[in-house]
Amino acid sequence: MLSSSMTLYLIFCCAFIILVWGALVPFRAGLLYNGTVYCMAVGGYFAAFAAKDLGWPFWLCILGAAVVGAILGFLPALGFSRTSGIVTAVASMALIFIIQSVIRNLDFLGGTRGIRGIPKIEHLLLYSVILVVVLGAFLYRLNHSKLGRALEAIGTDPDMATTLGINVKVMTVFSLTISSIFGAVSGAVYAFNMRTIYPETFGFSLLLSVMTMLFVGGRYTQWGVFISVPLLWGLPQWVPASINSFTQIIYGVILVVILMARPEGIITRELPGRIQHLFARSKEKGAGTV
Amino acid sequence: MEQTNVLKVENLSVYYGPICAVRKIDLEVNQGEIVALIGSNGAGKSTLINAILGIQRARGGTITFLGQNITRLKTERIVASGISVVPEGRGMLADMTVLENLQLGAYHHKGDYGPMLEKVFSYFPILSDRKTQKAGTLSGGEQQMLAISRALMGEPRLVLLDEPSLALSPAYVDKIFQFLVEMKKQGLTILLSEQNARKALQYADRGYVLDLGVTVMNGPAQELAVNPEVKRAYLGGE
Ligand SMILES: Nc1ncnc2c1ncn2[C@@H]1O[C@H](COP(=O)(O)OP(=O)(O)O)[C@@H](O)[C@H]1O
Ligand SMILES: [Mg+2]
Repeated sequence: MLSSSMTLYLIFCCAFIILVWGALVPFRAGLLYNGTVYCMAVGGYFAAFAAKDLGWPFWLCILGAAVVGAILGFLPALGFSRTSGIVTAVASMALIFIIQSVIRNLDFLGGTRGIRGIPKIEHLLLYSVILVVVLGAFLYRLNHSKLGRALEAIGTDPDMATTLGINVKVMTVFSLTISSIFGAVSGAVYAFNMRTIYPETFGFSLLLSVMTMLFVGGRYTQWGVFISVPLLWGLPQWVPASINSFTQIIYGVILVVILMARPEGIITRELPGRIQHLFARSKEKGAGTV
Repeated sequence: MEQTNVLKVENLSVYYGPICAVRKIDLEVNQGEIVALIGSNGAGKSTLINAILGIQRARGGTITFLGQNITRLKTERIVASGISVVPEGRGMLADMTVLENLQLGAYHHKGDYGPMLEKVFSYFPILSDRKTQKAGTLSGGEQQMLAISRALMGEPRLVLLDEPSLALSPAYVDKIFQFLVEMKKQGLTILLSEQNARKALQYADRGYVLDLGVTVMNGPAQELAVNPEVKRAYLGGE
């Protein structure tokens, strides 16, 4: 059996993998969307409230969080789709501060004290892994579909994408909504794992972690998160307590170094293809010797 | 019976701020022809093409495609209705693969684009060989083949090509025009702009000569090719 701290750690990893995937979807379309953290707060609070005060079962909470996240992500996306990528990056950051102060002022969500005593979920690790598999499969399908290619075309050259008949605004809203769903599900998993939730969690330092995980893992493939999230989420736990308070600085430094040294991240766009190629070649060789 | 025109442009004017780039142009493209827009740099060829696509808004006049008024439609609707473009400079999505570029060309294809992909690959086997390679790594001529193939992937009714021969070696220019003639025989309708008037008039059925945003002449390509004025201004004299 896994130790309880290990279980806790793995579930957090699942939550953050889903969260970074959420940031990855609009990134493909050339949008740095910071609203995934906002939707994480929405999903987390929804799940906490539904589970504790309404007594909803786990999967219903997840589903509800996804729906509420989709709606609350869709509405600002309508506005973002009319603006440039830079405006989206800045304005979506503002969403984080807005949701924090809204929650602080809502008594039924516990205000600044947050919600404590969220019901314990048996087999949460298993459920989290299931969510990672399901959402990962969905993302894979999306990336390799017509819509995924359209998103990438928008990220590469929005004018050319329009000329190919792609509706850039609609696709922008679509990508931000998908991103919000991922963010909200991640928040729900996070809340069930922490069993308490308070507004301060969903602030700038969380955003910094997400961006570091995104850029370190590689922003062009969905596989990088399996390296970057466990490493970076583990980091604060493994370093000596004396420098633990410097984690944010460490994240910041890692982010800057990666951006300079390996702008595409650890897992680059070409890497999966190259590995496949390598396997194919060694197989060929193997077949040749028989 | 009235001849079936695929595209009809009437009295079209396009401005950039106060600058008039296209002034009251009338133009028709009939089913199954290649029509060439001839004109020197700055004549308004690209502006006209962009206006047909809805990228530039017309200030006056109407554009009709297959009987439907598309003057105010959005670009993506116009493309979906059956017009595709090979933009000036080819518009490669350089970081995406050759295959992805082709698949994006079929974005509005209703059914299975597989047969069209086969067809394109049979005409340009090099694209099949390079399909997993990034489009940006192709040579200029190969990129032009890809751009044209991509424009055909959605099986459009009308293809607009903005200076397809630009910066291509003569061997490629002929190859590409021959391909367009072949496509025409299969029922495609083509409107292309060219500074290379000689080549364009050699392969086109009809031509329009543009100068400073107005049509100064139009007629069958063979007639334009021997017209003394056209010869002097666009075919390097004689
Ligand atoms: N984006 C623009 N803004 C202002 N003027 C433009 C713009 N694009 C083209 N023009 C002007 O419109 C005229 C026609 O240009 P264009 O359509 O590109 O000609 P062509 O394609 O025949 O070379 C030129 O005088 C050009 O300077
Ligand atoms: Mg031009």
